[in-house]
Amino acid sequence: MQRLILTFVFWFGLIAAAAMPAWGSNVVVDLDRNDIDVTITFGGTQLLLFGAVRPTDETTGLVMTIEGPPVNAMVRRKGRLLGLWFNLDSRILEGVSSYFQVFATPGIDIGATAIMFQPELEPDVRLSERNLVQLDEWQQAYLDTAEAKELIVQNAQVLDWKSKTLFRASLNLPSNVAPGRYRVRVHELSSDRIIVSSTTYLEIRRAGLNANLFALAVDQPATYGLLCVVLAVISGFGAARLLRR
Amino acid sequence: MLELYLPVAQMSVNPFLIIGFGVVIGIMSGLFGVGGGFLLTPLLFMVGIPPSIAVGTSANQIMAASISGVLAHLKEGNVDLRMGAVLTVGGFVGSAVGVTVLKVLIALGQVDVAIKLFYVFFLGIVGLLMFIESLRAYAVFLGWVKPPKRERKNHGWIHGLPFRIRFPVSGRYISVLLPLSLGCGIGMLTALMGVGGGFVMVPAMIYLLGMPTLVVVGTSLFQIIFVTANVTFLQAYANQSVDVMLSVLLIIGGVVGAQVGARVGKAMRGDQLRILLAMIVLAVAIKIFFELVLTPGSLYSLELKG
Repeated sequence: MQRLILTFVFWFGLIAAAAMPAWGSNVVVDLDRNDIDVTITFGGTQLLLFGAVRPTDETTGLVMTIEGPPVNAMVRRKGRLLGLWFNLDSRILEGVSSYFQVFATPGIDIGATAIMFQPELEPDVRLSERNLVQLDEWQQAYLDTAEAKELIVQNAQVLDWKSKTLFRASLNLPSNVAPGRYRVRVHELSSDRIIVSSTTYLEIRRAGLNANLFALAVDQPATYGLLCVVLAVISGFGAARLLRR
Repeated sequence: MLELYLPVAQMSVNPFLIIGFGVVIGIMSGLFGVGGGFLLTPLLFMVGIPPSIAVGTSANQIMAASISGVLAHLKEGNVDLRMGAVLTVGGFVGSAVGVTVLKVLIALGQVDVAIKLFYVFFLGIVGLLMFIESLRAYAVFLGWVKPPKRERKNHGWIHGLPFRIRFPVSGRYISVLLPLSLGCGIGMLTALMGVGGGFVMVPAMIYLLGMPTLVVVGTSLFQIIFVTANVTFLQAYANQSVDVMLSVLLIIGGVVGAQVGARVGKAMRGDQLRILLAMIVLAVAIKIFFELVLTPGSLYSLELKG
């Protein structure tokens, strides 16, 4: 399987590199799958990201970002009151990425911290200026707590060069990823300036029984509640039968 | 490794671990005749199930376990149906209040601390009382102390309460307000702690309502079925906090565990069992107490909203 994917990546890279001038772009990126079904047996998954670039004399490296769909994050801070730890303060961070990871080729110094709370990365933007921006307490707390849930990796992961033009990385998605549209972007850098960017998308959606149960629980909570009660009645009588033997 | 995704909790768990929890709870119920919800909810916390879902789903599991438990008692006529009905009416009121309180606590962001406080308070008191009582009973068995003289206490104010009705199966003629308010209190515990409340209900039936020991467990199970059914429905309806996949795993484990527990239980004396149970209850209370007072590893917590 791994071999097959590598072969696939290799040929994709070659073809992509050859086709590039026609696309008018210097860098492309793709994934081994663009749709992920969150079924009842979903326990997280691994994705292969790969792409090709036609480096110019200016090219010094690549930065790749994977962003989950935006969410409103409630960050709470505990404090001591009467000897006990209560949640004493909180902030809602609106529209933050529910998932964020950064890959960079060796020699590029950047992390999620520097990118996530900033405006869009786009051509002619300088990454070094972004490193100066200070995060406030709550933004930093969001990064830390989300990292504990494996939803954010604050340090950039290594983006491997497979040759002068091909690159690849593998991405671990934990089981608690939010369903929705994920954006994968690659930026080609000249020292710290972005020359060109390329984007692709990944769709994570609930599927099968999982999707049905979730929809029922949220859209028809009364029916779902009755289902749970009926289930307990049936299994209670069933268990009594089993236990009597 | 096999993982199972929980649709409401929106995370995956190792199904064998959760079934294992069910087995532990089943053993507890087979061994001690209590539902074991007080142990289940903290175990679910430990694997990262959100507190409100742990509480809501526990109620669902306890309901199934109580149905399988009550059938034998019903067959032997050890259920006071009239008393059970009155307790259930109280329980419906109490659990509706409890679910609403839980909803407010969720909105305030204090649900985890509040649930833990309830646990420390109730498990601490009940565990301590049970520990003292069972030690005393065991000391009597060993001949270290003389059995205390049994005298029925004269609860003057209790007999003064109005609306007295007859409970023929229990042989009592007491105010309906007593079982109503008892049921109400336990119903709140069910909603807030994810417990059946048998550990409070059973002693209260014996000492407060004066019911004969024979019908206490059956009647307690009987009313727990309806109260946990109500709580399951309300939690699913108002708080979206019942995960049906999690319930299924727990119920499977519970069936296996109950068989094991019933067999082991026959080999042990009642007072020894109660000492053991009291120690487990106290251990859970102490563990949760430390979680509340010790400086947490991280001061921050995160909740993502669609």
